Amino acid sequence: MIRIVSTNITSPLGLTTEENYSAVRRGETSLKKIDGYRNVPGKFCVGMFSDVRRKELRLDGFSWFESLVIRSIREAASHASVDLSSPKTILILGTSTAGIEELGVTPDKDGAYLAPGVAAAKIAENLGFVTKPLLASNACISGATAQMLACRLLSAGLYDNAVVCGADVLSEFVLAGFSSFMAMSPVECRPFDIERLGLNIGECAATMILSKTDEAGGWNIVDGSLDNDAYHVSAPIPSGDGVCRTVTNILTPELKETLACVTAHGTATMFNDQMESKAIENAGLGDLPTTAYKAHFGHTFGASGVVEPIITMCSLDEGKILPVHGFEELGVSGKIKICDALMDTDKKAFVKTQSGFGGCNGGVIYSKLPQGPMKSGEGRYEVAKTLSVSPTSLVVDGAEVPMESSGAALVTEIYKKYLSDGSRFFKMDLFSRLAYAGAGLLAKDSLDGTDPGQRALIIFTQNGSVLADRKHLSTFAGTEGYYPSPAVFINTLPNVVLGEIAVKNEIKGETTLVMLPGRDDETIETIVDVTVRATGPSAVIYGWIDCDAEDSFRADLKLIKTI
Amino acid sequence: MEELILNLKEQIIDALNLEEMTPDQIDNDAPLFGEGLGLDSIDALELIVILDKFYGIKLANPAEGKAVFKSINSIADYIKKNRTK
Repeated sequence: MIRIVSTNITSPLGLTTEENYSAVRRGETSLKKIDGYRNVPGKFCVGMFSDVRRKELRLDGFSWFESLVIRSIREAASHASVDLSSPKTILILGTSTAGIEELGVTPDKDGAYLAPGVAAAKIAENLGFVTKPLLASNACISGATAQMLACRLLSAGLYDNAVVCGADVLSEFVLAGFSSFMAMSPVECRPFDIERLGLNIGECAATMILSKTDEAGGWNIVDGSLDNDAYHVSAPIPSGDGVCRTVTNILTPELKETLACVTAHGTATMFNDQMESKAIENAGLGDLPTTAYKAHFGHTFGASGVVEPIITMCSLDEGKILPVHGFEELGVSGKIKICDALMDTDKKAFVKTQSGFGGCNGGVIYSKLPQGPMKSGEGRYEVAKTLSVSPTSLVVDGAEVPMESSGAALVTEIYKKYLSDGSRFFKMDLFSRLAYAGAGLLAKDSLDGTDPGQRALIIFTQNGSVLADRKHLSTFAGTEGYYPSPAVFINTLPNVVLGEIAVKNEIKGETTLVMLPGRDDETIETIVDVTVRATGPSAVIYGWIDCDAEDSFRADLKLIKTI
Repeated sequence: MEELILNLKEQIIDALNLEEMTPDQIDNDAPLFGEGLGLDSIDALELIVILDKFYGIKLANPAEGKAVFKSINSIADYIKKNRTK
């Protein structure tokens, strides 16, 4: 089983798991009202570190994001007997924006900015890791995605230990984007409450050190499931279908008996909480107390899927279920029981749900009871189709397809010639266009006969959405005024295009974006191998997609299917 | 009014990346969402940015936008009555 041998939470509420749990237990919150943030005008309520704390915690030669991650991991490792420098220990980060605050409008202004996977390598080197790190960038479910990658690598025996750190920091970049979405509450958020006004952004790094063990005692990750139910780029599907499936995929009647509560995503946006209530009800968990912690930490994005389960582990260790801070009156239609006062329990297991932009969802079950090994499949796969796109060529199954254009226009030509489906293609950045056109052409007429729930999509990249990131910055960094563009901001999450591909090609299984320090085909094959062994999909589209300038890009994709 | 409508269409085409579309291809009375131009809710937020950026109109509540964003004509009417720049 996969044991959580050590944890840390580094947040404005404290620098250790214990400090954070005590603060949450006392009903404290890191949320503070501020009037504007740097150049972003407006009234916000955010969970941020004070300037004094920021200065104190910042490490020389490291970005704020890197500093928080390093501090969190060091503290977690200080009370675990895990050798970070062992060739059997791997670092896996989960983040949606990494060190984006260092990015400039043009590459010559970048300063300390590093692509997320490159930043992960820098962090790994500082901490003494000798293995190559992975970074999951799946918007708000990045933390859960990182844990699933870890569980699969450990279950397959490739590593003995995995250090999983979920982290995101507050930046002008993110605040400007969410302000253009009009999704932020100017006051403390109120998950599941009838008067909820939206989310608060928070910053945090949280670490779980995972080891494979047969010994009883301690918290374990029992199982997890990731899927996609995208039908719109940012709004969740009202039925909560995908979140519900991530739970029902892994919940057995025996496991259900052991559960104390549901730890929900509970962002306090109108759409998320409503959707999540339906999902929890439909997964048969409406009778269990549901709790959520966004009113303590804010929405910490990549960290949320790590920090929130850690808090529930602490509370169940104490025999308690914590109430939802800020909740007074039920404001969702799903039949669920929101925990509104401290409750006693002797159960030692729970479900964590989460969902994110791009339609991705994750459900993970944690338990203190001894568990068997995670399920694994024995399916055999064969390559059904391959596709490569460069600025000068399109190659399908090894044969060059004659094209008229070159550069970015070639990607548009592929779209027009083969897909032209009235999608948001023209509103996308080049990375997304390349992914959408490439994966779309690869999938075209090739997925017939496979169950949509058994189709998966795993994309690897180095630079991800950097072109959209720069464009988003330019909408509010210039002298023309402050007008962040929501249509640009949405594609600064590099996994959003996976949702668009999922909608078009009816992919309802796992969709994951992994960022690497650079192209590494061996790692790609390894990740895909352990993923299909763990989840047994019938068709997987995967490969490398990268783009660092309008005329510099590459996509090498494969479609594999079960034999 | 005609100049306003032409400017508005150009601003929408530019902000929403409606490539290969020209102002005269957008019908002044056709619905912008669903059928017609097929805009979605992210585009609605982008229209709110256009109102602010070019016309000095702050639409604080996206729900207000529903009636305003029905068609090019309805947006132009709203701009005429409320513009501050």
